[in-house]
Amino acid sequence: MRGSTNSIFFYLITFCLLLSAGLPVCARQPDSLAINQPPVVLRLPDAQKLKELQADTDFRYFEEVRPNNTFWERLKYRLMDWLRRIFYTGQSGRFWEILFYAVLVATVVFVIIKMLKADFTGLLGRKQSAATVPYDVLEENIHELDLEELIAQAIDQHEYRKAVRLHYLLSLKKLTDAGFITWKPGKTNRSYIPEIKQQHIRQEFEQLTNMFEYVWYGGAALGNEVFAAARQEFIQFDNLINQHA
Amino acid sequence: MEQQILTSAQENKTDYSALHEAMRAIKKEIHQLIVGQEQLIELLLVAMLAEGHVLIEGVPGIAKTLTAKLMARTVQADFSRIQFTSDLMPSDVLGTSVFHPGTATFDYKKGPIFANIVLIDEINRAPAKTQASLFEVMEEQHITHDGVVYPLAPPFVVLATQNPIEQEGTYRLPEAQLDRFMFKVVAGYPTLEEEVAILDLQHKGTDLKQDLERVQPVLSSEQLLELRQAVQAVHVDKKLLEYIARITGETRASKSLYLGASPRASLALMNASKALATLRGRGFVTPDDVQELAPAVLRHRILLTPEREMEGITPDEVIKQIVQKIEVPR
Repeated sequence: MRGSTNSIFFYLITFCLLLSAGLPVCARQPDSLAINQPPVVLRLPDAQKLKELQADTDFRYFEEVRPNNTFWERLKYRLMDWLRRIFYTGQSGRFWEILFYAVLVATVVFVIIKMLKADFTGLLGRKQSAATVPYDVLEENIHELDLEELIAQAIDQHEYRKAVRLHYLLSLKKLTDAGFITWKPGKTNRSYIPEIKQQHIRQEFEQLTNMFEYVWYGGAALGNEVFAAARQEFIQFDNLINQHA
Repeated sequence: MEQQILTSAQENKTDYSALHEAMRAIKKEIHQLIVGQEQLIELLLVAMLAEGHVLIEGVPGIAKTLTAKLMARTVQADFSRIQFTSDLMPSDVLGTSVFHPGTATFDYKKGPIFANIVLIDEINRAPAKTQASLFEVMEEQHITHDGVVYPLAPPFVVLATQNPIEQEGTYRLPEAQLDRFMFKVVAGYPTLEEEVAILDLQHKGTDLKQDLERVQPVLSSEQLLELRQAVQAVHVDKKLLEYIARITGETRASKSLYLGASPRASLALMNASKALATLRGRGFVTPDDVQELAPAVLRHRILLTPEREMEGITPDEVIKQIVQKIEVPR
């Protein structure tokens, strides 16, 4: 069995050698190309054009590392190197990176707010003092008026309603000076009443307020007698304040 | 002393005690079924006396409609109720022409607006087209249809309720219509004590339908008109007229406001102040009356600037600042 296998290999190898020996015979056959065919011309790119293309930076596919010669180049390199080391190296680099982006976002938000001209401070909580409204208020400052002189003038001219008004303003001034009330031009007469802590002063002031309102807003005409009685009440009230001041 | 001056001031002037008593009786009737809502009830009374319409705003379930219904019951007058819906047409409110084949003519069929007291429930559920149908009748108290003017019998009062505009299915009312309401009253939730009282009332077996019948009319429509004439006679000092005008004027100058109040607002503030003065038993207006009513008169007539809206400022806060800044005449 083994002997027959070896003989098969022997014949196979011999057949292959005979075949390979025939190839040079085939190569010696005449050339199939026609004799009058034009010769092959080798085409090469223009040397000048090649130089131009090589010199063009658009076709340069590598970064030429040049030494930092000028001062600005060296400064820029050092700065970039410093930033690179801060932001992109180690554990602390991550922190600085987050901080950088946080500052960037805050800047963008700030610019947007400024562009909208809006105040977002109220977003964090209710604003204590709301929007301010501009006003040119013509205030009659009771602290700058010589009220006693004005009262005397009003009485001389028999302008009793005006005299009652001035008496009332004088009482308000005295209450303010004594610290019983806080004077503000926008407050109504009745809003001062609960500010007075002393009950008897509060009651007296409430009565005076009723009287003043009837005279001043109600258009009540006052005769000599009625005015004299009203004036007496104002004087008593002023004395009462002086006692407790 | 005060009595002396009071006598002097009130000589030959209208006696407001009858009016004061009538208003007290109306309050008593309403409080048979309504617990709390004092400000709402008082402003409704003021509006009735001052010939004003009232817009009541509040979340559902705080007795807005019931209060308005009870107020209407206390006056013996024609009452109608219109439920505003998104598909309501102007003709559903004002009326329409109906063709009669027999006579081959059109007859005007009056709508539910023809009454003395009209309750418009959930007014902001109807679109602007339907709202616009109310412009003429609310201001001029008549309706023009097919070239014919149909006047409404006085008194004519519109009491409208609405949910806050942020709620589902609501529209913002046109500015022109809002301006026709004397007050916008914001009805709030009851206090704890008031809510307990409401529960107790219900627990004791209050039947709303039956108890509604218990509320009796206090005034006839003629009496209401007489009281209105008395309110007209209330004294307003010229200084206070200037004070009212300055408050309204400042709403137009304020940098916090995109739209200020109209002169109609000044008129409403003056008339309402006169009515409130009578409720307080006075024959003259004081700055307290003006200050008290300013928010209800102005809050629906002004528009905040977008910046102020973004800051969360409310119209009431701006009104308060304006009122506080203007010197009280004294």
